[in-house]
Amino acid sequence: MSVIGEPIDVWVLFSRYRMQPHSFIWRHRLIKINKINLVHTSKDGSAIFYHFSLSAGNNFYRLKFDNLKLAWFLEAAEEGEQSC
Amino acid sequence: MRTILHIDMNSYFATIEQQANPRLHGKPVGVTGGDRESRTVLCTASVEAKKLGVKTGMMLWEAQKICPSITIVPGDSDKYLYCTTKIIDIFKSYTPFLEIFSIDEAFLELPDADINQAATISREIKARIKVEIGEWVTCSVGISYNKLLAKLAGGLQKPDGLVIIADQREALQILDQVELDEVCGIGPRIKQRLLNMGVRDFKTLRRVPEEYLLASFKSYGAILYNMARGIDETPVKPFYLKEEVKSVGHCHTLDRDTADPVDVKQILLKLCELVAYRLRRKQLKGKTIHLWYRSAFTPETAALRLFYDNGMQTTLNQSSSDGWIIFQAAWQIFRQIWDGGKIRMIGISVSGLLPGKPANVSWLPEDHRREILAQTMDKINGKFGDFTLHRGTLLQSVQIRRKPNPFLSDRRFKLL
Repeated sequence: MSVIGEPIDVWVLFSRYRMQPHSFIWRHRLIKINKINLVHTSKDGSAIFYHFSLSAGNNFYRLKFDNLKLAWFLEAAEEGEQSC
Repeated sequence: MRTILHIDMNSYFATIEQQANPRLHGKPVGVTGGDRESRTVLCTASVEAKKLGVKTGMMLWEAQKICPSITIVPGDSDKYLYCTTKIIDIFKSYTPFLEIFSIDEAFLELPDADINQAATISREIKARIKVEIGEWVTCSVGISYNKLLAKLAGGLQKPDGLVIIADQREALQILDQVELDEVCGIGPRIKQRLLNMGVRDFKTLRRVPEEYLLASFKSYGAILYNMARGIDETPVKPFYLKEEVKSVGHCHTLDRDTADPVDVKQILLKLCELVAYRLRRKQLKGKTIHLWYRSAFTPETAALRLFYDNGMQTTLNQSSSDGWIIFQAAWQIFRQIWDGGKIRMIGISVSGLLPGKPANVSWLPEDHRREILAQTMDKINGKFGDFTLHRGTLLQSVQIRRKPNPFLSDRRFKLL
């Protein structure tokens, strides 16, 4: 898994008290999210970070939403063929 | 008769990581301790890794030697604490008599339920965990009439088990089949002492008179006597009863072994500031300062993988929650006990805790200034993050974050 830490643009669906990232653009690629596997939060001072662990096809991504900056970041990514 | 559930999340941290990243499904995974990637041990191994012989507490190199295909994932304590909070919310919806034993274990007492109803509730809890946390997350549940047997039952079938010990007849049957140290409360030392007495199993233990056990183990002998008979009267300690905090501490594994006193001083000051901040948050002050360090491996100890620890404590004239005062005491201890060799880990804890308020008012203007400075720094750091504002000497210091241990200690209150 690679640690990325880059700002990204994200399309998000807000429905019934949930925030669901739908797709995002990273390095000129549009990546459509198939499944949100886990969501968790962390804090730093008064900032709350929402971490979304996602699958897009066979690839794994973790997105972070900063509620103070109202900004999205790609925290980590794991793409390509899986090792056995 | 009581009805008690023991719920144990299976290979918890590893399972959560596998839930987050499906590419890890079905693979041997090891999660490191302290959210580190090196110079640490495995705090959890996945079910798949355990089947291949990997054990919790192994050094990374040991795990990789046994299982070269293991994927090592750095721990993420925020993730596990968040999931635990959600899991506890599920438990709370069934009973207020909930004891949080650790980050991944809990006891639930169901006063109005019989064994069959408890089994139904257990299946419901398992299903809700799959829906509300993740489909890869499982737990083993033990049901019985006391905590001892509920925990024993829970450990009999892993992962995703549900085992009932309905009465004392069943309890004795199961106790006679398990090893002495499979029961919570009998560790390697007590087991060895029992073996030395010729007690190899619970059947034999039941034949030992209570007076003999009391003479050999003092008051613990009564507990062993009851254990052998499946008797345990300990209550489920409800989560809403906050336990008294006995000490507040921090330790840190250095990124590189060092014998540079400037490096050690910076890290120790940071640890003391963290401890002091936590004391002030809890409105506590402490009088006893305990400092310890772990030496780096030497050629002699490296071969045996033996760590050498050294520590000492001192008592302040007055209780304090001031980081600088705690640091001065800790640094004095360090200078006394340090042999000048390279250090791998250093830790500080403050005990002899008293309420911080009402505080004795000091007439010294510098004490008053320090208190105002600490309050101001706490407000700013509470809003913008740890060490946003800090002493100038810490400008170049390493980042140190609080990491919960699996038994949660003082962070228990943050889950509630």
